[in-house]
Amino acid sequence: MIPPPKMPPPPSETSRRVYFERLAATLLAQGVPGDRIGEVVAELDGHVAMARVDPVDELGPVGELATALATSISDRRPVRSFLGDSLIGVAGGVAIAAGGGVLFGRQAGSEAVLPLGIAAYLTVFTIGMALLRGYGSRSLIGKSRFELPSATVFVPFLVVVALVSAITQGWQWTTSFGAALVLFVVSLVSTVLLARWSIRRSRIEVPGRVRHLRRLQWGPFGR
Amino acid sequence: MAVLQGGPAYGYEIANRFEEAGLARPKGGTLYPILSRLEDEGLIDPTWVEGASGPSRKYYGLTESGAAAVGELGAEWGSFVDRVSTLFYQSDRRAAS
Repeated sequence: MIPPPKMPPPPSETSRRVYFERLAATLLAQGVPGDRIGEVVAELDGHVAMARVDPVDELGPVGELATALATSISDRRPVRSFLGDSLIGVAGGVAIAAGGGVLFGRQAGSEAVLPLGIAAYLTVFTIGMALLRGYGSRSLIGKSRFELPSATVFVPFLVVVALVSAITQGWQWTTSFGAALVLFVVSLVSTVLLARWSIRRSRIEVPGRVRHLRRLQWGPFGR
Repeated sequence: MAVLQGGPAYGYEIANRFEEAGLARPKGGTLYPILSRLEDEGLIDPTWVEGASGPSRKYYGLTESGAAAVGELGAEWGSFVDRVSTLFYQSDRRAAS
């Protein structure tokens, strides 16, 4: 009697998790909304589990699948926009400078000295990072962090940041304590609201109870 | 989309329906971008159904415009097959004479 053909072993949860984490990150970088990514990942993971095949064999390389999926979705938008990231940097920088002035820069009378150099430094740093993100993501995701394209842009950027830091170190602004307090509150609230907006745009929510994909919801891509 | 005329189905089931119809079983890497595009164009409508014991499944059903598109594409396909068949029969007749 011929024994029935053996079913292939199902792909391990680890290999599936690694594949779908990379897929989620690549789709996010291509501007696919977080809710769509969660649906796609849960659906494809269920398919691979039922077919009992390796994700790469069934779905192909992550990069090719992500491009095919991303081009089929029309409501793509930059999840981390240059303007949004820059605004967070500017508002955060002003909040730190105003907060520093309120807490430590109070002068005799009702004046406060704000260390504006910190705000200038943070603004340049975050705008630079926002500019780099689009360029760097191609070579940073899933590959070595020390690839040539990233390094050739990142190293000069660090030099510029160091120069700006040195030049703006002594920048100060003396204003009334009340104005510094108002500036601190307004910039702090703006920073928090902008950061919340940015986080919501990139949150990935996987529908259903997919235990090994739960990390996507709370991991680095979901935060 | 014609596969969905038999009723809503989830991705893996759609691939199986191709196989049952005697066609090559599409790989997931080909199938899902197409489903995603059809969903985006409003031709198919997805519904998540909670699994009794397993994971949730995304069922796709034809929308009204999707059903209309299947009718139009079916008529075009029929017309195309007729023209190709005519060509073949003409060639056969010429070869016979």
